[in-house]
Amino acid sequence: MSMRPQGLVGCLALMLSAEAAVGQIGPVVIEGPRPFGYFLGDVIALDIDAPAASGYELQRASLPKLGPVAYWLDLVRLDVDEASAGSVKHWRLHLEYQNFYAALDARTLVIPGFALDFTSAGNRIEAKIPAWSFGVSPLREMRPSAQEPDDLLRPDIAPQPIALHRYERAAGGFGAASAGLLLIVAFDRAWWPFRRRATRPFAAASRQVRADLQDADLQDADLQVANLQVDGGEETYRQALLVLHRSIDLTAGRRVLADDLPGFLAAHPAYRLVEAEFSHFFSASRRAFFGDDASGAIRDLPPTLLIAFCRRLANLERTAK
Amino acid sequence: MHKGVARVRQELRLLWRRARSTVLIGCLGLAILGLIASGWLLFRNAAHNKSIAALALGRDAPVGDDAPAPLLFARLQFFILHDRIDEAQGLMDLIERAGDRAVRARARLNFGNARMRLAFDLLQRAKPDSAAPLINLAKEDYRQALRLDPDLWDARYNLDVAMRLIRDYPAFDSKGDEMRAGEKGLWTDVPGIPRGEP
Repeated sequence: MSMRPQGLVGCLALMLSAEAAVGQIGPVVIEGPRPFGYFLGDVIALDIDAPAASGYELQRASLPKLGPVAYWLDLVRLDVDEASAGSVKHWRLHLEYQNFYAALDARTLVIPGFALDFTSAGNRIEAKIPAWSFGVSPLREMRPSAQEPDDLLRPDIAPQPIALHRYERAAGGFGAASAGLLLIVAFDRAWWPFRRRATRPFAAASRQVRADLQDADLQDADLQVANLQVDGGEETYRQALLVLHRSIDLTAGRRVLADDLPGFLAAHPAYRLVEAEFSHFFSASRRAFFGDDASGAIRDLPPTLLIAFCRRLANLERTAK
Repeated sequence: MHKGVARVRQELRLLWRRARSTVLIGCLGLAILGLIASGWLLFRNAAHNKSIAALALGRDAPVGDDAPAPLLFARLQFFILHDRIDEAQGLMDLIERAGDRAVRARARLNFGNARMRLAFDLLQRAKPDSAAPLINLAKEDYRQALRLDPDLWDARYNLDVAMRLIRDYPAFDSKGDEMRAGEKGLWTDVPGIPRGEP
């Protein structure tokens, strides 16, 4: 248990060290906690204020060392800080001692004093820090009633499991965040269950076109043509074109044909980046439907390019709205 | 002036629209990473707790050198209760390095208790010379426990018991730098110690 110095409770010891040159060092003030009622193991904190004329520096080597001070006393902590006030510099020492004296009766013990060296341009002054006494009390009765040696000791402390609530809370938080963000992302990208989002026709078209043309071997343009020409593949390709047409119409809010393209791009500037691809698509479409030349259209705009164009549109769509 | 602000605002809005999809995916990725990491920690520590519970029931469980301090402490207690003091000593070094002052203090206390029980055993068999070093080691254990955690009152109490068995005296005059604890003979009026001539 640490006894912090407290203004009113604390005992204030004023001590003017005799041999310090008058006006250069001192008076040294020790502020400590109550000076009585301590047990084995208690930590006692002392605050020392040593004012020195500016120019005088504390020699760190003269500070007490951490560790055993006496066989029953350890210095467990030592902090030094300094504060200037006009022509005086206050050197403040915070010392924490731990008492290991096993008292059999109440008695007074003394934390020994020490000397601090201050130097300034070859002048050396020693400031005496006075001893500090306090009263210790016994922890146990003189003659314990326990008969068995094992009863003399306090029992072992049983191991405790690791507290998991920190990890549970973190996992719960991240889980909720992931679920929420997944919903938002699904909405943004028109994933299930937001597939039919009115404002994401290109996302829906991209998905459907990809699904429709999936069966065709997409590696090689000639093979694609060959594959699409069998088993009504050309019809599938036309369907895919129609799907994309419909999504363009949905985006524009009206029918869009090749001639309407400039008007469409003016109303939806986000798609200006793919103006060339639009023209490419419309020319392929005209060839497939009005020129009745599906295989030529497939050669002109192979499924791979068509799918890439759809994907590009879906991406632009997300940045547009 | 106003036009400039409106323009900046429009630019920012455009920037946000372009970046939104990417930012959302990034956030989702981070949240999933966090979920995986915290879930893994939860799973691993729950497994540690299982080992701790098994050790408390007296079943030995393998414990790696890099195990967290509470698990090392549980194994230490298993060794202590099964009189495997040498293995316990090896674990003490690991626990010292594993950090966590509260666990280190408790481990020191229990280890000191183990040494005290051994010493009592020797005293009852009339071997005070073998008991004395153990008691001195136990005192150092209790002191170390109290340095780590002054609020560990059981360590204060047991240190008091050990100190009454062998009191400390200054080894040198108060002038000397070296003021380490010295030891004197055993107190002979401790319960359970045979008195008189053998």
